Amino acid sequence: MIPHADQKYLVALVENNEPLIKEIYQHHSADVKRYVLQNSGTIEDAKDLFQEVLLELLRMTAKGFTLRKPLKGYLSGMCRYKWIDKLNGDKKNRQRMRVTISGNNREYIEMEEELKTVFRKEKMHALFLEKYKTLAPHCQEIIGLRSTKNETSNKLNSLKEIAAMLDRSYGYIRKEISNCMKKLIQIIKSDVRYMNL
Amino acid sequence: MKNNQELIEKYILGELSEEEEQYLRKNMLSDKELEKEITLIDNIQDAISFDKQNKPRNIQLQQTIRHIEGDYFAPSPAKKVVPFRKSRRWLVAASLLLLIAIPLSMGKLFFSKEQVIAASYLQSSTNVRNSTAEWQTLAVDADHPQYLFYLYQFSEHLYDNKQFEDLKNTYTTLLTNQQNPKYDTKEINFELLRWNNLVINMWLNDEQTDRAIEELLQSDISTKYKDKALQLKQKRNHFLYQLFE
Repeated sequence: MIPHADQKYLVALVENNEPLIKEIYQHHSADVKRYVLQNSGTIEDAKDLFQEVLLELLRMTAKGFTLRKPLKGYLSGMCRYKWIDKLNGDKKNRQRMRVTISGNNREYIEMEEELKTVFRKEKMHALFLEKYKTLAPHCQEIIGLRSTKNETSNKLNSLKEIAAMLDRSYGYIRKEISNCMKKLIQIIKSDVRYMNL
Repeated sequence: MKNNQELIEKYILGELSEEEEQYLRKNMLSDKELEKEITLIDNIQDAISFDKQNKPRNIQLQQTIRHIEGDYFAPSPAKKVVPFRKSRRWLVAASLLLLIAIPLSMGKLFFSKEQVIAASYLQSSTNVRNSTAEWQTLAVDADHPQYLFYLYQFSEHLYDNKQFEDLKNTYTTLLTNQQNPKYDTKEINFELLRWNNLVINMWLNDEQTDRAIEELLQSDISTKYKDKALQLKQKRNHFLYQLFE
C-alpha cells in the first residue's frame, strides 16, 4: 500500500519536525477554528482540540497508521468526532452542531468507518491507562515491567528478570503481579465506559 | 488439563507451557468469554507498554505545539469602542457604500448576475433534513442500501452551508446512481435534484446553462420543473439580463 503524500506530516509529528508541523497549522488550523466556533466553542477550545488531534495522530502513526487519503479529511473527521464526543450529553449543544466537511463523500464515509475503529481502540487504551495510574505505585512498577519487552529477546520481561531488576524474590514478584493484574482487570471491568466500548 | 481461570493466571504470569498455550488458543475459538479475557490482558499490556515508549515523543511534540499554536489560535483583539457621534468614520462608510452599491446593483461586484439569479432558483428539500447530531449514522458502507439516501441528506447540509462545489459533486453521485438497483431510492426526489443540479451548475459555471435548460424542457420531468425552466429561460433572454454582459 502506497502512503499518501501527506504521510510526511505524520512522520513529522513522530520526528518532531517543527517546520512541517507549522505547515499543518498553516493549512488546517483555520478550518478547525471555524468549525469549533460555529459549534458553540471558543478559540481556546479549538486550540485544545487541534492539539489533542495532533497527539492522537502521533500515537496512531507510532502504532503504524498509514495515511491513504489527504490529511485534511482525517483531521476534519477527527476534530468533529472529538468535538461531538466533548459535547456529548449536552443536548442543547448537540442540536447546534453544523457539518462542515469537504471532499468526496464516499471517501469521507470510508474514512469515518476507519476513524470509528481507531477511536474505539484509543478510548479503550486511554481507559486502561487511567485505571493503571490509580493503582498503588509498586503495582504500577511491576505491571509496567511485565508489560515491557526485553530488548534482547523481544519477549515480555519474565518474572525472573523482573525479580532481578527489583532485587526481590521470584515468589514475591509472582504473587504481586497476579494480585495487581487481577485488581486492574477488576477495576477496568467495573467501569461503565468499558462496558459501553 | 487445568481450568480456564488457572490458564488465565498462568497467561498473566507468562508461565504457560507450549501445550497449555495451544490448549488455551484452541479454547478461545469456541469460548467467547475466554477470548475476551485474554484480549483484555493483551490490550492492557499493549497500552501500558506503548504509553511508556511514546511518552518522550508526546512531551516533545507538546513543547513544539506550544511554540507554534499561539500564532494560529490567537484570540481576536478587543475592539476599541468609539462613540458613533464622535466618529467621522460613518461618513467614509456611507461614501464607500454608495460606490459599492452601484456596481452591486448590476450584479458585478461580489456575485455575477448568473449567481444572483441561480440563488433565487435553488430549492431545498426540507423533508429530508436530519438532525445534525445524528450525522455519525452516515458512516455506512457504500454498498449499504441506504447509502444514497444518506448522501441525499448530506446534500441538504451542504446546501445549508452553501458548499456549492461539494454539492455539485454530491448531486452528480446521486443522479448517476438513480437507477442503481442496490440502493433504496424511494425517498429521494430526483426531479428536484435534476433541477438543483442545473441551478448549481449555473452558479458555478454558466457556460452550459442554456443547453441544460433545453435538455430539461425536452425531458420527461414534470410540468412543475418545466415551468421553472421556461421561466428561467425567459429571464435569461430578457433585454435587461442581456444588457449586463
